[in-house]
Amino acid sequence: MQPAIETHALTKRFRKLNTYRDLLLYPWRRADHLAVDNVSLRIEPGELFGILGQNGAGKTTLIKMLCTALRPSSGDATVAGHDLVREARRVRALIGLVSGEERSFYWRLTGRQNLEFFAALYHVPPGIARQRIDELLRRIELRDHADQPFRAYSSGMRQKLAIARGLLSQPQVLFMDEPTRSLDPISAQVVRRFVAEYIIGELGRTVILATHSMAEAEELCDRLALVRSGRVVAQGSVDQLRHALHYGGRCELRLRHMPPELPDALRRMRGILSLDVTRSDGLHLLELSLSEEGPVLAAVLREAVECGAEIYGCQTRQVSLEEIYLHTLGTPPTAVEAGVC
Amino acid sequence: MLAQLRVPLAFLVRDFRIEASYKTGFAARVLGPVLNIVIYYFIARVFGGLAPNLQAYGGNYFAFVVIGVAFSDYLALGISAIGNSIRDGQVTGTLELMFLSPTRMTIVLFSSSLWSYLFATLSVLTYLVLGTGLGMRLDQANVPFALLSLAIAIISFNALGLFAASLVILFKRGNPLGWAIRVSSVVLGGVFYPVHVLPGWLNQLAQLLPLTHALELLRRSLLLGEGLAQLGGELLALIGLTAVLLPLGLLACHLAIRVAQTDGSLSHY
Repeated sequence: MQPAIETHALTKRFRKLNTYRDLLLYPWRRADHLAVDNVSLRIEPGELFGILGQNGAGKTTLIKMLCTALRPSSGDATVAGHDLVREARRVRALIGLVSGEERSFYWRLTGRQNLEFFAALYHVPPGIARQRIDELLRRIELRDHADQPFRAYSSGMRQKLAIARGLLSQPQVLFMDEPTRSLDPISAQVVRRFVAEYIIGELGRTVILATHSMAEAEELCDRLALVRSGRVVAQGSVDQLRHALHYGGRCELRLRHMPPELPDALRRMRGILSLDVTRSDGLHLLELSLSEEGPVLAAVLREAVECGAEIYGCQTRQVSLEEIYLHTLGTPPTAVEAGVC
Repeated sequence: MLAQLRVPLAFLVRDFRIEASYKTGFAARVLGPVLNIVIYYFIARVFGGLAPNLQAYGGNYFAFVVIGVAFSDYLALGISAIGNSIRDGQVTGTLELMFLSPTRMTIVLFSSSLWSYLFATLSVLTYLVLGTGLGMRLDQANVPFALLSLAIAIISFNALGLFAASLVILFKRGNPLGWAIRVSSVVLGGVFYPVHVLPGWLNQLAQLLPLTHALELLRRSLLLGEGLAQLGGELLALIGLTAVLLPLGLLACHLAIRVAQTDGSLSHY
């Protein structure tokens, strides 16, 4: 099956802006900033693919390139089989963009008038546009405010309108750049439900979601890419990431008595990624990160018993996406990470 | 065909709604021509009967200047309308989204200036109606030829505007090219005085401006009723300038957008 999006070594360099001082002293000097570095992705139709990364990691630049708003410096990419650069107009007819940017509407027009204008730009016939606008406004719970000026909208309403605009042309691929950035938890939940139930569930569109929100990514995304300094350092489903990064799970071991040599003995064991020891309510708490849950956990318990520890309780859980994110992106890049994907 | 008109119509509706929402500004723009024409009427009365240089245009300074000022509004618009619309798009953040739609760049650019032209046309009609009321005679006017000349003139003015718009796309603020074209056109294009009173070398320079030929065509067709037989040379000169300026202007805009898409500044302001 033809992928919805495929990129090969997609790269974007920006020329750094010179200061007046630089222009005077070094008029010929040019410095580049690498925003997206050799990104290769394959995203299947109907997939909800997340792009996670810190501020300035290159998520928005990557999305802007895939939307044809930015020309790649090198590499190539296709959207529904159409080349991003050579067939830009065909690509534009197939995609929609939902930006977290509020500054992209006409503030003196109503929500409905804004949508009517953008529907015309996307060549949606007026009759169909009217029906579609009504349907989208109803779905996104904005119909009662459709005829108010955009300037009177709250941040949540503006974001919802941006989503409705992105869907006006019924795009095959919808790019969503931090769609819940400025939303309260309830509005964010409405947006997430809309994405999951309507855009993916009913319409079956492909969605590329750039987000900071781990909960959002874990709840919605089929697969995701973790991006740092313009590079994809890991990609796959949350389970695949756990497996690829050897994150089996977390274990909290509560001990009534802890022999002093136990922490070092555990740290020396294979499969223990990290160990924190604290005391609480007269108990010793050992928080362990395990590369795999079953055999490593059994070995931990065996070691504790053999050392003479008195086990009061043991709780295990899967590693969350946030922990994977913090571990993968919260430390400087390593050769191991670079080899993950 | 109807489908092709939907985008320009959408721009017209959008701009009308935005313009109408600024009620005071809307009223001020409507009243502007009325005040101007009163001023030119009294200036013409001061110099009435002392205009031997205007024999080629019927000898009436009031009629000469009303047509010059009314139609030079189109030039001012042609130079600034597309650039202003792009600037508005940069500030409101809508420019990038417009260029991300499947609508062709040229249609977006020209449609974005339509409302300004419609408003300018209302302004020209106000000038002509009030001018006629104050003694300007248009009873010999060759209206079809004047309209043809005006259509070509507007295209040529827009072509100049494309160069100015390219600079707006690249540099956002400050548009020295638009200013230079506007000032040189007012000075050399024959808005307030006929071009033949200029020194020889300035007269030659004036022939390179579309406004010079446009005003000559409009004045002589509206005031004297002349047509293709008398004005064929002028018309050809205007068409020639347009044929050179339009593709170059489109190329300039295309290159400017490409640069902005390369350096990521399309949505900057």
